[in-house]
Amino acid sequence: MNLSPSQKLIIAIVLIAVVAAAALFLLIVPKFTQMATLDDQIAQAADEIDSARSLLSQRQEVKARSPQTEAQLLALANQLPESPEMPGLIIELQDTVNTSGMEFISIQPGEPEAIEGGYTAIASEMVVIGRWQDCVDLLQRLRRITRQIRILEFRVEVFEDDDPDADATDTDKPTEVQATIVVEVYTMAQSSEASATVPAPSE
Amino acid sequence: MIRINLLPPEIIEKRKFEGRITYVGLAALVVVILLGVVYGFMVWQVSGKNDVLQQNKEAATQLLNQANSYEVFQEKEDLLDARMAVAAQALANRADWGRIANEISLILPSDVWLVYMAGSEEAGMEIAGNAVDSDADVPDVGHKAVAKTLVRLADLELLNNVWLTSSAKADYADTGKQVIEFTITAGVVRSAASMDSSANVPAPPSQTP
Repeated sequence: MNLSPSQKLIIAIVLIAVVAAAALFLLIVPKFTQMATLDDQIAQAADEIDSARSLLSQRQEVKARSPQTEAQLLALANQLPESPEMPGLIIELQDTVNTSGMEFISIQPGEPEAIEGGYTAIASEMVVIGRWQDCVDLLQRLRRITRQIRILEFRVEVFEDDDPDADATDTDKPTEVQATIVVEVYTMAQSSEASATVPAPSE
Repeated sequence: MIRINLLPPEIIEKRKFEGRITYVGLAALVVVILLGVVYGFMVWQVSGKNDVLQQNKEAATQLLNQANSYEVFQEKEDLLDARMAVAAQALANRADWGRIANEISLILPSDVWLVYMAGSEEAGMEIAGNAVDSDADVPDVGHKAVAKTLVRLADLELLNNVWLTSSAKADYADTGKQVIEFTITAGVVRSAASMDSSANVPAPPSQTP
């Protein structure tokens, strides 16, 4: 097939244009797409850096607060311990009653009761005898003791001394009252984990 | 002067083609160089962006690792928050019986004394007491001391629904004297503070007569 020079020229130009277009679409345009993808990934990575930096900053603040956090946890463990710790409670109640000037007659702890919310309540009935002013003082002190308690109910009535040796004619003796107070203490653990007993000492 | 080209037309055409094909070749070369430059520039750009992306990823990983090393402190604080929430729930709305009893002591009229007091978070308060009933007063003061007690109790901010259940004259303990025996009930306003370890300052006594 004989082609004229003009036809050869046109074919050459078309060939060059096709090759140039192919190079453009096969080599350069994909690079633009790749760059756009990389830009997105860089922006995403920058966001990740920001959130990581924010998280780090937040945790550094938490670390700076950790001494206070530990102290609060310790204080909370005294207020609402993980076990009933009845010995500690009895000692603190006895000290409080003594400070109030009353006589601690009895205490009768009830069964631990699991409460929805992740804690256990133990109701205990205590009986004290003393003067009315001391009873008021005791009620105030009970709210301020380390172990947080709730006074569910109380009953204060005049105490009749059945002692036959007591001098009934002694009018100077101040009237004594007997207070029956039902307090509720709390532990963080559920009742199945709670134990009012003190573990036996290991040999 | 007339110029005469004796070359045959095919030769003339061939020479024109050779001249044009040279330009076309040059143009093709320029296009190839241009495409090469653009491609090289793009490859360089992509490489730079890849480096930036890698650096950013490494920085993010490093920061996350550093943040994760402090996770134990976060866990402690989360534990504290959870326990504080439990404590707040357990101790919410406790009645301040100490303050209530103290304020009742402060506001009782001097001619009234209590013989019984009971309080319950559910049922409220019940108070029983005696008031002096003098034989000599004319006109008879009678139950006015009980009324005074009711007014003063109603003024206490921790009590509500103060109600007189009964008030009656009675003999006082084989002394031959009479007293007014009364019984009062009241509701209790519970404090919002869940955990209170601070000292309670009693409210000033009511100024009502």
